[in-house]
Amino acid sequence: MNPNIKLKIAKNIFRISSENRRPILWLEKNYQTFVSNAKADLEVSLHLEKGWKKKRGTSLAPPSLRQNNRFLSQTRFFDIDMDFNNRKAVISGSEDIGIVSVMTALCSMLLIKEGGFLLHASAVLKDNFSYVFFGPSGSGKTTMARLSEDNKIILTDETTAIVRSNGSYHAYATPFSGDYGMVKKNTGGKIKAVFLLKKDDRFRHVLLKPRDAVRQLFCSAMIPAVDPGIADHLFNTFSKFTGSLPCYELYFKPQPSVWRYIDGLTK
Amino acid sequence: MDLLNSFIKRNDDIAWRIIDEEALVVDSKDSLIYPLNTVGSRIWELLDGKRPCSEIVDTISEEFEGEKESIKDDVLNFLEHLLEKGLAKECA
Repeated sequence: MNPNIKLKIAKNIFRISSENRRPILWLEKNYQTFVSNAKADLEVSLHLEKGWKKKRGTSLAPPSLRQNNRFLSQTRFFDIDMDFNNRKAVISGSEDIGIVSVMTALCSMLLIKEGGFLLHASAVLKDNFSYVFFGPSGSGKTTMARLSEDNKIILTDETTAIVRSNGSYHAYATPFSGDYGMVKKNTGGKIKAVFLLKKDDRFRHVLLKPRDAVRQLFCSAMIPAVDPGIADHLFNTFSKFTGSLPCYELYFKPQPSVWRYIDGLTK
Repeated sequence: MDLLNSFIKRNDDIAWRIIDEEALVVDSKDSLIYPLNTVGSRIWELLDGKRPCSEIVDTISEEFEGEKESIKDDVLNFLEHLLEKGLAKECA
């Protein structure tokens, strides 16, 4: 049997196997918090070759969720073939493949397929509810994580898995961390509110209009490949998401008292 | 091109949705999202390729306030932008 590892990210278990031991060792070392022994939901085979080059003009179809429940995509560094019927994914690429890019692409496509998505966002668990903070680089995602170190659980400072479950949305930790470093607990919780961050010299907020919230999610979601079918699917997902949760534009001073403001806003 | 008498339609590769009377248009080729205002959204809705652009100018003039000549210029300008960006195309 090839070297392999099982990782639980959000609700999905990925079993990643490769003839090449290096990416597996890297995952074992860096994604320890996410290692699982449960039955795999997706079997991922890495086929890595020295000197692999993107095959231009191959028969790979454009990425689509609608074609035979299969997702095919080519990136600059690897090809993905995800077969949702058989719960299998094959990744072809070079020996020095960026395993983090592969994992985010797989995780993202599986979440999108299931009505969720991967978001450039930090997330914090407080009193069993999660709070999601998103925005472009420098908007304060990691700052919000650092300001939540007291009696809260930091799910992630960089990449949040959004999962739809029983009609509501939950935010989960991921191993795709930013400056804050690897999270200590692989957990998640039902989302209380979502915040588009803007650093400011005072606290204030604006309730985002559904259209603006959907637009901002399109800009911040991690989407490995967009085709009209995927974009249409995401329109549905983002519309449901923004229709069921309060989405605020949050202007904040980077001070711990930001949580008093958030508590007042969401009580 | 005599734009006023042309039939223009939305490109099939484009995903779009009208939310709160305003359209969001996603171009999957370059993953760009275009938010349209109320007038742009109405024009976008009318771009089914079944009417000449002159009819679109007439509809917009009836539904929105403004000098017809100025509305005509704005509509044609907007359509030129859509064609330029590949978001819409002229029907054969």
